[in-house]
Amino acid sequence: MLELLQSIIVYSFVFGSIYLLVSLGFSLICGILRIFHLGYGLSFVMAIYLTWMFMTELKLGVTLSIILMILVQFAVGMLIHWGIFQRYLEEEEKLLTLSLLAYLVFAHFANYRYPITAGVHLPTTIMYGALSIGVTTISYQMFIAAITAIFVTLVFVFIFLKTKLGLIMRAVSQNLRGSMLMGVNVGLTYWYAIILSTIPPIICTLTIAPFWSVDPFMGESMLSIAILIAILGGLGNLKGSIVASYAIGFIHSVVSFVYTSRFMGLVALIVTLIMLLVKPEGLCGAEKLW
Amino acid sequence: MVSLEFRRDRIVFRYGDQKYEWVIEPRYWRNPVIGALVLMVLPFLVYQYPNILTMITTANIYAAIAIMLSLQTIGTARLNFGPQFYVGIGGYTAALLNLYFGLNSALTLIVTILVSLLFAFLISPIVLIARGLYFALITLILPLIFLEITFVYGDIFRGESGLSGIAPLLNLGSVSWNYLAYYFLSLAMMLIYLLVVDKTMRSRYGLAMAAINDNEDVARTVGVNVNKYKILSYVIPSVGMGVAGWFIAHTFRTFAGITYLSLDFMVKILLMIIIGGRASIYGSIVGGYFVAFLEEGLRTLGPINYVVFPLTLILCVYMLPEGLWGLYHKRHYRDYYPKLRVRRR
Amino acid sequence: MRLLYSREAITKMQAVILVVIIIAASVGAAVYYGTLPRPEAQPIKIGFIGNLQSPYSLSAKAAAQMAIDEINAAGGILGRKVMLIIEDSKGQVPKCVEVYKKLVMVDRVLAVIIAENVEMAVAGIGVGAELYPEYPHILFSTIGSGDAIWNHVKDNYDKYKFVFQTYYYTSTGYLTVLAKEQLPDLFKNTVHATKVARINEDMEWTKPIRYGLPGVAPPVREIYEQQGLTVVYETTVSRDQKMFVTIFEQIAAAGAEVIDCSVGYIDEAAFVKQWSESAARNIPLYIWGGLAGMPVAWNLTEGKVLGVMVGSSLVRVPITPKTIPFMDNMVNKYGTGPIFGSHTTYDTIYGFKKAIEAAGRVDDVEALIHALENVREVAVLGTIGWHPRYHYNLPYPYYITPTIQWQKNGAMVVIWPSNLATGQYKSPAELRGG
Repeated sequence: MLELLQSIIVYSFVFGSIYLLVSLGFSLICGILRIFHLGYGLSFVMAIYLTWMFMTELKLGVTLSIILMILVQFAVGMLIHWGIFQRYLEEEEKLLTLSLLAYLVFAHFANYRYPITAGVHLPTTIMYGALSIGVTTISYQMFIAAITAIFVTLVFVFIFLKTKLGLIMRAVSQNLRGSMLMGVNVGLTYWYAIILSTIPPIICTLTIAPFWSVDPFMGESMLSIAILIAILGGLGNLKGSIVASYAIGFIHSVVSFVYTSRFMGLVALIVTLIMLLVKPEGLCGAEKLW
Repeated sequence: MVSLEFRRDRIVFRYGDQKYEWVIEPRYWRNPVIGALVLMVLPFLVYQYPNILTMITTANIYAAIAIMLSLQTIGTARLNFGPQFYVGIGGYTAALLNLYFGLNSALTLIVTILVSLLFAFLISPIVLIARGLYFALITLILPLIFLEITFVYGDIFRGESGLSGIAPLLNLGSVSWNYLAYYFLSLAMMLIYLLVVDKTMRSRYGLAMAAINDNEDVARTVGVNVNKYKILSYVIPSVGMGVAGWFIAHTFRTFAGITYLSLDFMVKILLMIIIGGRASIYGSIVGGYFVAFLEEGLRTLGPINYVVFPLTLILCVYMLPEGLWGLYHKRHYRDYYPKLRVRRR
Repeated sequence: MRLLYSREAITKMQAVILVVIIIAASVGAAVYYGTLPRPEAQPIKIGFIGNLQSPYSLSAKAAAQMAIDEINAAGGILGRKVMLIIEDSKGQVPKCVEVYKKLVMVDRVLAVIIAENVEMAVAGIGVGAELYPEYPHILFSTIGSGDAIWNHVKDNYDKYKFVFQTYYYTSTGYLTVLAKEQLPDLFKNTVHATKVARINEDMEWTKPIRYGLPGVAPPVREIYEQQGLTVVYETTVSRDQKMFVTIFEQIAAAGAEVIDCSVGYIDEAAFVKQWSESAARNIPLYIWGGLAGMPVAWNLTEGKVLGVMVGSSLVRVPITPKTIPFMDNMVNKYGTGPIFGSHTTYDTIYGFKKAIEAAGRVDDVEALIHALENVREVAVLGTIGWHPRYHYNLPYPYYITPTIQWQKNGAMVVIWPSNLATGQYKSPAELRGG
């Protein structure tokens, strides 16, 4: 019984941290720009396939490919912001459809260019092997991914609580007109937010590629995780995302150990549905960043 | 006393001491009638290509779903991201009843309508409780849960193989006649939906819906029974979508959740609405046919067409702010489209 | 507050461009349909439906084209050329139904090959049954797995007798051969394990494995127990599951000595990657089929698939004289060699050719069906032939799927059957340590 509890706790921690890293960028966009970025999976897919493209076609090394990929992703993020978000901020249905279509274009392109037979993989394993925590065994890479997630979250929390840029972003997310009255350059803040929100998916993909599934349509599963966590924790609420990721990690872990892992996804969906009906603002309240 | 009178420009129906008038405006009805005639003549030009016939039958069904979705969107002032949920309910009800109880298509229609009505009433309180974005999210999640259930209870729903061998809608002996009949039935379904929705939008119900869309609180103060209109606008289109699901099950003789409950299907329907014109009723038809023909036309490009298809759609959304219907409709009347923001109301 | 009139009116130039695009697309479609071949009497036509977005259908298409080219180069069937007509279903049932009707009613094909998943094949069966009385034809399903397809023939032979299924295995094959003889032998005598942990994926094809087939065999768990193995753990995974580490944790805690996985559609790369560094990493892993049996799995998993045993038809051993030439020619035609669906498609076409030659004529489809039920032809993976009553292709010993183990440097070593073996089984710990 005690071993079961220990396993559940360890895996809740690991799952929760990884899901947190997945949903961090989404919560950021949701909180500051107040839009639902249905094309969020684009960052994940581009991280893998752009790096692979640079490595195999331009024959650059791993590090150089990653740096180049990060720069291209910033450029694409800004392009999407300028072309889709800025133009259609008032017409949400077009915004949502366009961001989804943008993701589909790249995913289909990656599928066409690098199907399953191309053997795409990222050699970003930092450490091989597994470590034992009591009775549970976790691979080093998974553990490192969890620690990285926590580190990135702490950096973001620091940015939002202690720096001026973070203060401005929090203000914009709470009351747009009030911030404008105070003289905030809202457009510039949005640009910063887009850049900031591209970083967690990149780090996430690089660290979890060694043990997660890598295929052109992985963005959809990432997006659904991010949406579930955003809903559960409160749309756009960073604190809510942290709490919700560990809650969903806990749910997945408990269902896997106590029942069958087959129902992990279904239980999480039902819990979120109940949360939407009972308390739609989520666990920590919606529509504010912290 | 019940009587029906045909005057020069209106049809009057009297029931007891109540009178209902339907004013026929020839100028208004000219273009839709021409459009309907074109659609009715179309199959005779292409019936020797049964795949084009199937394609336009499919386009009709999708357009019918889109029309009902438009009514629902405007009436409930919310964007529904899960229209495929009721299509799934209708399709599975028809399939299950036919396969396990042997009911023919007319009986399954009646039961499908009842079941969709039941589910719609059960879920309708959400329209009243949930605000814009949250309603969209709930409707997004519901079909995914249904899809999971079809896998979990695979004995009944048959998981990814789907239910097959469903009896056809009707049997006229020859296969070609059957397909022609399917097309006309789908056309009839779409035109009936079109008629119903159009008349509703132009009646005082439509006026009430416009008021609700503009500003719910003011509408309530003026005396519009907001709750009743919202629930009716949610339930009736849902039943319409369920019937569309019934039609799909009996026309294609197979129904699987993977095709009809997935996000791809949702994106297609939404695209029809957006490209056709923002929730405009007639635009849905144009959007449906456009998407269907675009898919066919791009097939000649080979496997790259999967990339070109979303690109073309992005281009369309950018270059046609009012959708394809906006090219035709010169009068940009007041826009009743609902908002969905992550903001306080 | 919305503006009363929209200010973003489209300019004339934009409208013109858009109308040109629409007209061009329509003209393209019209030209495509206008130049459809009129029904002709001379060549024998075979239709092919696949999801040309998926590599499996694409490889099956390449295999089909290769078979047709080879047959035509050798003189055709009964002296007539064979023509392959390829259609794309895009993975959607309405599209599949559409192109099926076109192939049968307009192109008047003799046979339709559906190289796609079960759902499409089932949809095709529905349409085919509708069309068969007026347009007799044959339907081959070469990638759809599971019983859903041949159960139609079993339950209603007269209506569905034109349906034939070719796949690497069938449920009866799984229950009476694989689970009853081959695997217990492998586990007990080669791996030296008696405690088995079972993982099933939650799909239609594993239903007989999990619940048994009435009248044929009990569930695999009971079959193992009858053969002297103990099943210490059994679980189900869903097709889109990404995290399997908790399962391995529980398997290690249950003390299993071998892990038996009835999976084929889950993300096997993630599955194997997570296994190799989990609590169960030293417990031998046997996978029934899927991605782990493809040569590309070594790169995909960065070598973490070392030690995994998997049933794979993609290994380079000469099961018949046709096997190696087929694999080499597929590299020329498809670029990366055969993957799932290509063997079955290729073998089906050759089996069909022999049946036509045995019947001697193509206008009597009933005679063709009878010939197909009795044909035996040398195939890439053994011998192709179909069950006379149920129309699934005959399993082992006719159709063989060797078991391989991934060993050092990405070598796929065949460990079963013994007449094709190229090496010995080694435990994962041994392979990693040594």
